[in-house]
Amino acid sequence: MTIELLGGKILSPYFGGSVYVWGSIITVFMLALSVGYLFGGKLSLNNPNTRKYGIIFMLAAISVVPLTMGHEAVSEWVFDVTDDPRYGSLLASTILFLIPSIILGMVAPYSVRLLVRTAHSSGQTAGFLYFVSTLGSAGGTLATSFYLVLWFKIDHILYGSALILFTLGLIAFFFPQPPLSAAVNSNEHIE
Amino acid sequence: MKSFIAKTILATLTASALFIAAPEQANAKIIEQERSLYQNVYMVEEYGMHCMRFRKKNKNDLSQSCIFLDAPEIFVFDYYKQAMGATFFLDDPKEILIIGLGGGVLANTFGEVYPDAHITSVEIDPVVVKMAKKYFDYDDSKPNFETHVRDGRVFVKRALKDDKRYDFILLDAFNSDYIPEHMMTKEYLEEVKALAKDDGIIMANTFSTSDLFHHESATYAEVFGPMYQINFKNKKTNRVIIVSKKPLPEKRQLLQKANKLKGELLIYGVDTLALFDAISDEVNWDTEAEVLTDQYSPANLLK
Repeated sequence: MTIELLGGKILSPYFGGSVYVWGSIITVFMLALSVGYLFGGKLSLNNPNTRKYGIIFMLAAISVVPLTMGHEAVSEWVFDVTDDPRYGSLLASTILFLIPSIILGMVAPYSVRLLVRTAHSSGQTAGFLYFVSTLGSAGGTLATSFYLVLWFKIDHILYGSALILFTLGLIAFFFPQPPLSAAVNSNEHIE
Repeated sequence: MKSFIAKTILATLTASALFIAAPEQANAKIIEQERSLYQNVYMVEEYGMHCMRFRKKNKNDLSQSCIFLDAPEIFVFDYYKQAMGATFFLDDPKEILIIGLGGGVLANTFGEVYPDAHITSVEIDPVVVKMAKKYFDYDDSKPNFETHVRDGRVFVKRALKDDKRYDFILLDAFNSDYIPEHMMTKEYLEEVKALAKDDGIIMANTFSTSDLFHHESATYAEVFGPMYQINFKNKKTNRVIIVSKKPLPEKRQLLQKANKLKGELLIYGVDTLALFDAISDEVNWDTEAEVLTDQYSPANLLK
């Protein structure tokens, strides 16, 4: 959500702050998450463990870096190739946000796989995960829109998010837990 | 002339009455409202005026377009008068760009003062344009007027690419409730600066209160260097900023223009000598305030 909110600020100098800019950003995030859920689920079939889980986090962190470094150049280029701000913002959002959001989307189903003990309790586990991740989204939204933009530059917030993701990934990677037990509950920053 | 002065006095009294009685809203009558993509646009008739506003109940009277029904030429708001200070800096501009049409009061007035000028207005909200035409006599079917329904920053960027240049650029894209944060930044002002001709004048109608005042002033100073502010004393509402690509004239050099335009601007209720007095090049902001950039522009949080 932090990245999604900053997306508006990243694109507005080129495509305006209009509702279609938000429409583009939300569309791309939703599409990417849906693909990410599918991939994450698929990946969890194959010998799931928290090491791989940590790698997803680290990949997500790494994917935020080119986004942060390249958003100006990308927006500039898209502004040159299309003068319709609707499709311009859609194209720019796709280039910038699709990959990071797909990877972040993979976290949720993988978490379910790591945390579920029995089929009997799977609903409860999934419910708890939704609870944590959605609460995290709410927290990220509020923190970003109320405070972070007042305290930091956009790029610094993005690098900060990447750093947190990477650290979480490292923790999951170096302190592996066997699946089917309470693994690291570190998915506050997804979505 | 007598009836004109009487009209002016009446208008001024009505305007003061409006500010005193504003919380009551007793005489306000909504004559038309329409929800747009961005806001609710209300046309209100009150105290012998038509006003456009974006809330049903307004907390303050900043930045809404109003005109007197029986004296539409007389300015309701001080900021319209302050904006006419730009005429002291202008010599027969041919290309005028207005970012933020609103009711079109300033577009119409500059169109009257400079009949040879081509006036391009940019307004993001099509409903606002519609109301401007219906209630404020804004008429862009005239050959020297054109309107673009577009985000101001996007327009500026595109116009730069298309090699358009303007003699006079008027920035007025804010209302008192919400500030488009991407149109307050150093990068935006640099684009606007590039869009002005070499001797072009840029005028902005902006805030004179709150933290934002300091950040905004610092941002203008960073991009343009020295600037003039026009603000009637003891009126803590809006101020007008005048900047240019090349150094601005000294204040005393403006007096001649102020005298010359005295008669012409009196029609609008503008006292050009009072306006001259309201011009200042004083650095009255915190020069340490952080410059707003595309990376850092929490304008609505600083308000």
